Amino acid sequence: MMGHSIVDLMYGFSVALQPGNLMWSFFGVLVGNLIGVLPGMGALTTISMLLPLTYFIAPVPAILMLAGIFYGSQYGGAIGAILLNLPSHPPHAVTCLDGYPLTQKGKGGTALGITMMCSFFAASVGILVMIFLSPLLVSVAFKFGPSELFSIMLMGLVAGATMSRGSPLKGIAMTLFGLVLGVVGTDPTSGTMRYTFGSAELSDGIDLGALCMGLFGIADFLSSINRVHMQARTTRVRMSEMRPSWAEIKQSFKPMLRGTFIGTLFGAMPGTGPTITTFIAYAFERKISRNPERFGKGAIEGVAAPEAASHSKTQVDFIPTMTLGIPGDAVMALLLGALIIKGVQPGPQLITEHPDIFWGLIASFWIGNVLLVILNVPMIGVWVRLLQVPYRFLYPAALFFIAVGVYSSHNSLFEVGEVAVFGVIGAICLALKFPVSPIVLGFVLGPMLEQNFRRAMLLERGDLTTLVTRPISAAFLSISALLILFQVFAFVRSRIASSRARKSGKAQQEKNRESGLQDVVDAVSRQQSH
Amino acid sequence: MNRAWRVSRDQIGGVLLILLGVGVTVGGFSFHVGTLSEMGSGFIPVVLGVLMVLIGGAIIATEKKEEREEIRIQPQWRGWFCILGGVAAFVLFGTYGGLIPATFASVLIAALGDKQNRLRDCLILAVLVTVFGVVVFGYGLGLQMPLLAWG
Repeated sequence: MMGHSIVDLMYGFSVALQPGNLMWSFFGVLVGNLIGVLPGMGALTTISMLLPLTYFIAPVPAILMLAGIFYGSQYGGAIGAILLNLPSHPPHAVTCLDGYPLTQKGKGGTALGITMMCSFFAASVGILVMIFLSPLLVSVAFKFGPSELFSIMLMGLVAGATMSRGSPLKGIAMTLFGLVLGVVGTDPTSGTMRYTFGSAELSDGIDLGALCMGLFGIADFLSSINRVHMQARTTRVRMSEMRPSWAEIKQSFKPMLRGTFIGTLFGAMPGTGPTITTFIAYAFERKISRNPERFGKGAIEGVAAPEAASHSKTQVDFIPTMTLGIPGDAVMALLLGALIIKGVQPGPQLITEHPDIFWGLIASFWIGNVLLVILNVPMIGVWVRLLQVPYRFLYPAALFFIAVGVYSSHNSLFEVGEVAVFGVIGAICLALKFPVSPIVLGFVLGPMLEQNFRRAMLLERGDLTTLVTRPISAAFLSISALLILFQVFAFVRSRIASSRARKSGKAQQEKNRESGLQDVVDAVSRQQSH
Repeated sequence: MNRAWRVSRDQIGGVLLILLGVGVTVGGFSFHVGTLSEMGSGFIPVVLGVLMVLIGGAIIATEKKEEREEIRIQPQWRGWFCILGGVAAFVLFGTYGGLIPATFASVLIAALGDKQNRLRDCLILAVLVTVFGVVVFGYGLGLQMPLLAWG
């Protein structure tokens, strides 16, 4: 099995290193980094904005380029978080906590260097896990029938809705909203038009790109216009500053290992977002630290652990996405959608049917990470200058890219109109503090969930108990049930605690101290409000 | 001015969810619902709609009075109008004009939304983005939209 994987990996490298593919991979890392570093451009916005560029090229280079964009934008986001205290991608919110104080101390370059080291290491571990676990998972996945697929998707949705930041009920509500949006269009089983309001353009369903760019792009412009006023601080980072000293490397080595481990563990659970993973890695690091008071004032461990966790987590997240066709979070959902647009259906058969894509992608992960290091060391000065582009010039240009990008996917101006609609919906969600990313997860998984459920019920003649009598399906369903029960339990406990708090004043604060996680959440929201 | 009647974010969100859920359910019944063994295209929508109503109700029921904060959103009519107007301009000029006018108009209108942007800045930005857009998307990527067209 292992030897087999290595041979396959060699094949992957031969695919990824073909000049044409390598060029697109490099191009992806470059533009991803370029756009990702711009203030307010998170990984999601960057990927959805650059998605249309891949419509012009063949599937293999397209997916390699997307992976490159993903890496580039992720790292670009870390630059903004560390140097300007601006998390444009939620997982980086934790990086700000210690990254920005480090910049204030003049150690921003070191923090960036450590981030690079951690992301490279964690991604490498994640890739190794992916190489050896994917074929194993595939051999199990072939036994999956519609019931199992339905249950695992349900688990992904429940985990995604309840384990993200904020109220689990709101997460579930937004997932449902996403599922409903996924229903819009022609029902593939019966051909019935559903919720199209008589419009022919909607019969193909809502466009994924339009949905994402509305929810993450336009909605963000709407809610931050005339509100964000960034002072362009001149933070200078020179190449030489990026090399951390031996002491710093030693200091961050163990946090990096722990962060990677936490990320890998959570990556194996579909639905748990990268944000919560970074929060846990940070809280854990602070808990075991001998002097936790250093955290929040520029502790290098506070940068190393969450960055490592986020990178290994996203890497491992590719496993369910590629082998089962079940995305772990919104970013993965977007990549999955992109593959489907390219005519490639991820799932157990992907490895055998498209070994060039699967193994090429894995090889390109490594190449992408190396490119990232090569690119960022000399380019850091350019990125720093890009960070200072004022928002008031940035958003009109970004708006054009969004419009032209959505148009290019199907040459449809109707879909550009959809962007505006979802922009308004997204802005309302933001104003009401409802999370937006579960919508995407629901939207992508919805049609698959419905198809498999209908197929399962058809096969079992409407017998719902089949979902619990088949062992694999039962296991997934019980995990979902446990997740929900846990939330109900936590809710009841907090209710009791808060009713006590009303009687005895300070109890609530005591309770919050108990869980280190709550602390981190508070710290992040405090820093952001500054 | 009745100050006692303050609404929280969760209440608004819950009500919106319930309304949407009812809409989805009613819509679902207009398709063929069927039974568990032979589901029609309306089955899942009805389930989703009912769940939305339930969750919306649960959000309203569990919202905590003490966690209510004042909803303070300063309306940014000019900004909102210009951003959505920018998208609309792209659609409009994309249909009747082509890539050049569509790009120019959408960037110009969107840029006018920021109070700090002067007209001169906006015009320069619009010209720059238009040139870039024509070179990269028009010539480079062969976007299926004429650069200039009437009607």
